[in-house]
Amino acid sequence: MGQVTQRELSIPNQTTCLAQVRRAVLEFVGHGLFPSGEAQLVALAIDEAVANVMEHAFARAEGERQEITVQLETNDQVFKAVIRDSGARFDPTAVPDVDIRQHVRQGRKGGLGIYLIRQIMDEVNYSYVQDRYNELRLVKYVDNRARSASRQRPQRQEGAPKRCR
Amino acid sequence: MSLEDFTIQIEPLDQKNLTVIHVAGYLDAHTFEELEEAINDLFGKKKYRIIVDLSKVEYISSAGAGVFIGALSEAQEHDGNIVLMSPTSNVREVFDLLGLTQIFQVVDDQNTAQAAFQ
Repeated sequence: MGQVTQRELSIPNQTTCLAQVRRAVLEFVGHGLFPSGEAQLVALAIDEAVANVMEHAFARAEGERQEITVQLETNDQVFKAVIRDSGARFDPTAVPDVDIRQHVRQGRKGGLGIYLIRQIMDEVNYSYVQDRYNELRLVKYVDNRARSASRQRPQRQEGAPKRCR
Repeated sequence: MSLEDFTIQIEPLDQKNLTVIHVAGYLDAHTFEELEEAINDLFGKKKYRIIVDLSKVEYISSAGAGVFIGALSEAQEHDGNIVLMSPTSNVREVFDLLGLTQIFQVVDDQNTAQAAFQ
């Protein structure tokens, strides 16, 4: 089992920060942990998870004082992401899979994010911790045969600044 | 173009009462409302025959894809359509994951897009 690499970033509850989240994930997984296309999808899954928090747990009421933390971790065999927030209790795993044809007929858009997350990640688990915060745990296993072994990842990275702009 | 840039250009075509929306940049939960407003604005002008040029969209999330999902039925109810043109490989992969390529007409060029409208 490889050495554990971690990164944590905290962002305010602002959709402008989603770009920062994606960049951070791509920096973390894009150095050979996953092939390029798969790394993009992993960044999309984390983007969707954070966007869900902003839309549901914080009800689209943006604010710098509301914080969302994203922890990234890998040991070269598995990639884990933990998204935490102290907004209203919201369990995205309770949202049923969408019937896309029915969605289009009815002009509905809800549930697409968690649908994508389920398709991209291998495990998706939610818990409401200490009656205080939402915690979504995402896991994706690394296909080591597909990895680019020649590229190196940084061992540890500093957390990003909280303000996005 | 920087990571946060997002632009929309509306191009009315003389033929068939068509409108092309040229979208560029990152279409996510931060930017989707701008596109949604542009489409609703066209609907308000009774323009329901829309080609969306996605050739310069570098990233799309479910919020962006949801704009098309939300608009398609209204366009079709008014004898229109929304045709998605020239998605990049990243965008097409997301459409595939969502199953949108089974529902929307996704074409490679503007001639084919225009021909999709009677």
